[in-house]
Amino acid sequence: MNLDVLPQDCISHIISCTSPRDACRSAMVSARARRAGDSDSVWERFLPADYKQILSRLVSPLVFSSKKELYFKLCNPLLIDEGKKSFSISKATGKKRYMLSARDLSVTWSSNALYWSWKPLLQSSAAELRTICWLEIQGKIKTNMLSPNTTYEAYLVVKFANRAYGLDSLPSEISLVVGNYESHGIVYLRYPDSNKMFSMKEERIPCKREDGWVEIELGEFYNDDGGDDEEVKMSLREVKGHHLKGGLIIEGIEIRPKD
Amino acid sequence: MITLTSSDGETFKVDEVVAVKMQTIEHMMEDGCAETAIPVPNVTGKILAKAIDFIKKHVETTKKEELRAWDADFIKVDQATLYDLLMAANYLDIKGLLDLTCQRVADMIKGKSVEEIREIFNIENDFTPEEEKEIRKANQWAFE
Repeated sequence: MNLDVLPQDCISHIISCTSPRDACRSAMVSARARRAGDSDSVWERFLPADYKQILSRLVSPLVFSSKKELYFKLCNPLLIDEGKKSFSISKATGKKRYMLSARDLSVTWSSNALYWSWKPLLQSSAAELRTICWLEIQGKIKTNMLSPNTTYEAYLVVKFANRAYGLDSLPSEISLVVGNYESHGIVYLRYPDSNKMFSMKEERIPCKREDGWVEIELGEFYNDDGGDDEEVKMSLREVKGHHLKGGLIIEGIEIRPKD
Repeated sequence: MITLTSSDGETFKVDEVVAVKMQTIEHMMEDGCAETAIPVPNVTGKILAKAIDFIKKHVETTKKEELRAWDADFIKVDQATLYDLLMAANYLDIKGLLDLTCQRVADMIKGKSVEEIREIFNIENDFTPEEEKEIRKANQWAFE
């Protein structure tokens, strides 16, 4: 049976039921398949449903000549919401991801220059801990900003300055709360040690990222069809120890779909 | 009751509640063209019967799980019938059936290589080698 007997908009409809990767491959099949696969009706389905609203929140407007072009431009992080966050979509699935910059988080005592200093980072700022007893970092995001029917993971993205001290004397407490769901864990704030083999049940292990930073999993949660106007609250705290800690640099909290 | 006549002369009497699910027919009813039998020249009796079965089942049943199982069974047809159903759903504008048939064909494409897709659907490669190179480069990510 020959696919060519179908009208072009049917072929587009079929391709829009596959995936971005399959749609790109279909461009190689034949001239007709390419026209169908590259069409706006296909790529509009792959874009987030609220993409127009997202575009209106971008710090710099995006120029694009097709929905396919727009899709791939959104795969790179872009500043959004007055630069407090950056936004992108996962290339394979079109699902939304956010990085809440350090400025968008609630870092206790961060406005006091004795304890925290702010250093420019890309187009935002990173918070560097000079010294403090009370380490408390919190972030939140509304579930309706995320893609529905998706499992998400939240990571605190940090670096350790050469002079870092006191951060791993005691484990830090981690929590993620959304609606009725809560998860808790602990982490020792230190640069990932490849020799470490054992960990306790709720212990999170810091992981190296490709960009040279380190990420610490704060938790994962399932975002259903986003009917409720709920908020995901994520936090890391080390407030039990009365000793001083310093040298932690915070880029932000990344919320991304689980692979 | 609305009467439909297929391309090969078979007649089908359907309730209005079923007929309106075929948007094309619904428009004709609104325009007052449904007094006598409505000809459906692009669709054979065999396919029209199946399309009507589909609509009837979806009108009668509201349980999602039951419908999903029924649809999965309904769509287990040979490729030729699948195409005919798809084209009938497109012509008669039956949204649920169009979605189901398109998804079924889409599932045959997912994850397949370009050559495999051409083979399954009997499509000829009408690109020059230069064009192929250019398109592959533009869509590099899909081949990584």
